[in-house]
Amino acid sequence: MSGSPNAGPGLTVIPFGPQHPVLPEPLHFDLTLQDEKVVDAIPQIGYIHRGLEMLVEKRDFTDYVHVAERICGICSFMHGMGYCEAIETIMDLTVPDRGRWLRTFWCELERVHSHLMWLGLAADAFGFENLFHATWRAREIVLDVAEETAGGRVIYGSCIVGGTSTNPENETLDRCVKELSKVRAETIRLAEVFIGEPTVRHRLEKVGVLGRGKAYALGAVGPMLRASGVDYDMRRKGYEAYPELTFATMVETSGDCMARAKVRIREIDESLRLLGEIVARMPGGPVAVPVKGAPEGEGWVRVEQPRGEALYFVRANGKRNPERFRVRTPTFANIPAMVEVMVGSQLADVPTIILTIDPCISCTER
Amino acid sequence: MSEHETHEVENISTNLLLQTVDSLLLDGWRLIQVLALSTTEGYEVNYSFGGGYAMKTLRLHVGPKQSVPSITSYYAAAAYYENEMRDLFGVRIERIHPDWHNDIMGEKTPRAFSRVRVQGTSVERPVPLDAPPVPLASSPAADAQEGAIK
Amino acid sequence: MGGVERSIWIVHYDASSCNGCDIEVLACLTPVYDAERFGCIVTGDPKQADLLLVTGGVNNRNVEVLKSIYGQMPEPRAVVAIGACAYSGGVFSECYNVCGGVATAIPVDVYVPGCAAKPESILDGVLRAAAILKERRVALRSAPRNAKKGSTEEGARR
Ligand code: SF4
Repeated sequence: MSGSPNAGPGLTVIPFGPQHPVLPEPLHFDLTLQDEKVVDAIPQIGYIHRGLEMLVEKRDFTDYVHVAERICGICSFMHGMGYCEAIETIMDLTVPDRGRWLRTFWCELERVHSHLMWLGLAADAFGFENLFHATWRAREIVLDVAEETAGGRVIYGSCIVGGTSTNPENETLDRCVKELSKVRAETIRLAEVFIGEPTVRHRLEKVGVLGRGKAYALGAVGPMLRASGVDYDMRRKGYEAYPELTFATMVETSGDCMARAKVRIREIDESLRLLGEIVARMPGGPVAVPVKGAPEGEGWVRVEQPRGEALYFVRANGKRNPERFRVRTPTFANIPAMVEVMVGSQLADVPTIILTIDPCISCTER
Repeated sequence: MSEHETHEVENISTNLLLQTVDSLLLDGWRLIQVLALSTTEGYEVNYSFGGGYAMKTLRLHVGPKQSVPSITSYYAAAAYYENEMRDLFGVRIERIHPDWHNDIMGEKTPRAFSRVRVQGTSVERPVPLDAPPVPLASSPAADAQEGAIK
Repeated sequence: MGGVERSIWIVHYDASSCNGCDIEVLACLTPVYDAERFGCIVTGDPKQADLLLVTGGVNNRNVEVLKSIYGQMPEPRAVVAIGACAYSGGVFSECYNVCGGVATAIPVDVYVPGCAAKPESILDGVLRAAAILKERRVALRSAPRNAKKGSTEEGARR
């Protein structure tokens, strides 16, 4: 591999990964060091590459949702939804109101679950095992709500082409919102501990700074971009029920690891508030429209996942099996920025930097 | 849906690629993604750019042997997409920097999307690994095993 | 040693899973499911582990990693394959880069069903594997010392 720098005088190349101290997933970097300073970082991918984009040729377009959901178990619902939206744009299907609002509900639920998970892992990486357990206990409530409303804890399985497959009762949703209010109180408490702790601040502040212009030019998305001061959130673009909702985009300006942490923590709070609003305004009626025929044409969809903007592309030729499916996931878009931040940082900060980018390797490699 | 109103697809020829990309860069567009498809004539390569929430896609049609110039000198982020695309599809891309030399996905990853395969047919499974024989598990395992498949 | 059970040291490897099962494995360790009450401790070091939890199927790149992790583990050892993917490749079984379940690379003792596997069943799988481990430990101890060189060393030491 070229790209791999020849270790010159005073330079050392060390492999970082694939098995990791900070993540359960295998991610591999070749780091070139000069003393303790990283001068180059080259990612290697492919440990989790499955090739699921090609599976679309063998699956009926309505069945492929199940595969799309399993691009990543953390943002599973949104992956399924992105695929469904792409098919729906091709086939000109209009999802009924209740279906749209339910999808939005699950999207926000997933954002809460993902960010809470991140908060827990971050706490664990800093050695706050206590905080890790407390966060994950709060997160279990979110998963219970998911199980009760959608049917699955991590893989929801509730999104189908044309709408949703489950239709929870309004009373269930109300009860869920009550449960979630506990999470909100708990999160605020935990986040204060996390952010206020001097050791955490010492390790996050002014570490891994990504400037505004660079973040935008390198194609960073999601919390990574917003932490650098760019107000960019695909939800603003309006899909599902988002055009009818008002919500704040969390923007920080310092661009360091702390800013990225703060953006996520604020988003948990905002999403929990949004969940309450969604349930309060949940319309009635059917949740799905019947799907007839087969798609023909191409659809491009962009949605905002917990980690940022994801792009879905489907091309179909009028047969039951589409021709090509493509997903550009947020972590893939964040890799160039991640490498940029790593170069010039201290080796000891590399795990922190990787952590605050919240990489999802499974969806990066598909 | 509103997203599609602001998305335009433009067919361009390969020799105009760099020129067009250059002007997009000057206009402040950023790269969203690069995507390849195998078609009956060769490959189709799509470059999507974003400016604010708007999206613009440049579409190239290239023959199986034809090479495409890399846009990494304009957009550094394109390197990952281009390397991956060359790995999986076999699209010829010139002067990518940094270049993984067909190794970004690991050398054993099959080049599954490549033009070599026949359109629409399934790919052969990779050669079975020389695995040690699976021992017949003791009773609890066997129970769980039965549970797993149904 | 009579009534005393050993605590199980676990190493977790994510083969090509979708993360769904991974986060459920992590959830097992947290207060609601709390695997630690059974004495399970997660370690990152295969050389100290008794039990290997694998999520996801095997692909062409990680098969070597998986084999090497398994190879580093001391005897007696057991493997739990979690989720439909680890059984056969699951939804991805027809993907070009998925060779199949974990059993195509290393021997598996317990399969945990589900996609995603639920924490309850993961715990159940771990406990069943613990029983298998115990049997193996007994067998190893009664085996003649130098019958299997190297691999029994660890068992004998314990
Ligand atoms: S079994 Fe299902 S949930 Fe688990 S890793 Fe595989 S696809 Fe994901």
